[in-house]
Amino acid sequence: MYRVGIIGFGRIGRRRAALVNAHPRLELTAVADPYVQDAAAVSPSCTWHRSGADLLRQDLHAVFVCTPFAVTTDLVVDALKAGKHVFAEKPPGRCVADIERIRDVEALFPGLTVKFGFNHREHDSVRMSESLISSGELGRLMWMRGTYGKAGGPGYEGDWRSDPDIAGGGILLDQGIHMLDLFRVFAGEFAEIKSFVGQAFWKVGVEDNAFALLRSADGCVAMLHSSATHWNHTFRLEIYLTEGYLVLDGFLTGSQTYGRETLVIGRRDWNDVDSARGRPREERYYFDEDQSWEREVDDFVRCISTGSPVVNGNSLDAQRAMELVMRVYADDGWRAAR
Amino acid sequence: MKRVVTSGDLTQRAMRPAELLDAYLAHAQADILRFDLMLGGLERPCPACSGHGAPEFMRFGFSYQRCTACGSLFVSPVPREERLARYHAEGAAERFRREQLLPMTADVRARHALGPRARWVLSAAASRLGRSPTLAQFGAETPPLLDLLRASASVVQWPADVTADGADARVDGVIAFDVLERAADFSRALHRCRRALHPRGLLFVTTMSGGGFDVRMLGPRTAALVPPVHLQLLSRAGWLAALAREGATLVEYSTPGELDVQAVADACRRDPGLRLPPILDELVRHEDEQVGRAFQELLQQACLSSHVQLIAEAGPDAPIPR
Ligand SMILES: [Zn+2]
Repeated sequence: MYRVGIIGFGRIGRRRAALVNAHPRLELTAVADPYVQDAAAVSPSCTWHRSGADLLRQDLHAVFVCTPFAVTTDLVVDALKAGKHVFAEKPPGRCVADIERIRDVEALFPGLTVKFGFNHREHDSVRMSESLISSGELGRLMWMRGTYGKAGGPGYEGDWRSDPDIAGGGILLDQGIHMLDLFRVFAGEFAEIKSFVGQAFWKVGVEDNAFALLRSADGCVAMLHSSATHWNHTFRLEIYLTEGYLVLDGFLTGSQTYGRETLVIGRRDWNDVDSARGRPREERYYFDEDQSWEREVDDFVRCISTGSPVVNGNSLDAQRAMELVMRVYADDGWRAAR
Repeated sequence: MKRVVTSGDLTQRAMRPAELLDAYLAHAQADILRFDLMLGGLERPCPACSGHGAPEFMRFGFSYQRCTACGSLFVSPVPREERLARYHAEGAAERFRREQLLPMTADVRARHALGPRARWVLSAAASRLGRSPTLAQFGAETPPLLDLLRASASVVQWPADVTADGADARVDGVIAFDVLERAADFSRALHRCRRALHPRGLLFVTTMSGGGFDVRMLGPRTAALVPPVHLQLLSRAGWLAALAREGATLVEYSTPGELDVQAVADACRRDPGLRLPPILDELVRHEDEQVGRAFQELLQQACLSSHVQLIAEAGPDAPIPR
């Protein structure tokens, strides 16, 4: 059994606690949060701490860092120095220097696992797409178009995610980073970026919309729209290859506001006999469960126990995704109003 | 669990041309008499869950029963195996199907059935069985399908009769396309498939559903229903029960059929005596053909089309011999 601590007991921290409690090889031993005091309700045997620093003094194998972005970096670094394996939520801090600092310290402790929560990689639609693309049957990747947006809401302006000092960035850093991470999964690194970033609606110091065009060295173009004014919650990634296309739409959340998770598979069809050109036969897969969170934690435990390197969501993935976010900001000269 | 919905331009006319289908059915009825399929038939409970069957309808002299427990549809009494074997080997209907029906619809089948099935198998095999899996196909040899599969996997063809002995090698995947419904002893056929699988191997099945829209709407008038071929049409619950008996689990269940609505509309046109509930009649024969397509997609989403494709995963242990 690995003794686990969770730092930050908000919505995500609680979700992680449930996953830890359900995992046969993990035992939730400690929780730290300056505001929340009902840790006992989740796990009666759990020790309660006011601060992450206190928690890190406890004898634990691993910690989950589920805090606002402003304190993520220090906590990850301190946890490594305290000899703990670390699972941290994305984004890995507020700027590239944050994740670089984490990587510097990580390099000093090669026996410790560091994994970041890019759980979208573990969605069934993403895994199935990866398998189809790598099989080569759909040809060469040409372009992608990704939209990831949420509606904000009455509490949006008061949320810490909208506070430039705590969050470091807006919707792109909070949510759009997942789409940029997926772009990397499918197309690798991007050589060029053009963007428009701004505030269309919310009166906060961070962006509520980011539009970006990215081009990889071998010519794959990816379009991103990350939005906090998407009044209908939307996750949609279209991937076009020379022989066909994939459309990933929706994912399962508790409230299902992003729609069902589906994957459309279509193939280029120029067969005039059935006048299918322009409207090819499509197969649409529906996925009835989201195991991405469980898979992520399983993978973390596997890496801890075997010492094998993190393949999905390692610190280099986190750094590259963070760099893309910052390059999207930089191309339009956007700076969060710190 | 995932399931697939297909949208495309497949038509009943292209897949099952009426004149060919009528000729095939006429041969089937003649063969049923010629081989005395009704003689000495065996009463049986539900082949999926052993539940009790209640008479649902008669077709070509065969009694179809609906399982009161799992909803599967099955023929009982079921013809004797030796008579069925002669029907399939020597009958005019099967010969007509092989020599006329299939060749004349080969292009549309390749595009809408064989190609998608091969991709489905290969994609599931790639993600669940790893590189270079070994597959075996039960049932009639389908050269175009085998060619497609062999591009990415090693595939052997096993006897058309699933329950035949022999072929004791173990494989990663068993393909049973349109064969399990015709086994006189369904449990034995399913066990035979399971026995051929390595632990955690996959069974790929396509078959007709007892819960599908056209069978439920049309009953004995279902054009695609041929009793000596369709001895059992399992429901989803029926599959769960039958697979559980083999220690296998259902990992994918879809009904990506594209023809239920067209089949029902055709039947209504051909048979003015056929009465559907008025709102269903309006939906299936709606003047805007997009309505029919949307309705067909809805049936697929609800897993209520008649064409089933499923994947079952064998348990982690070797099967218990029977
Ligand atoms: Zn039954």
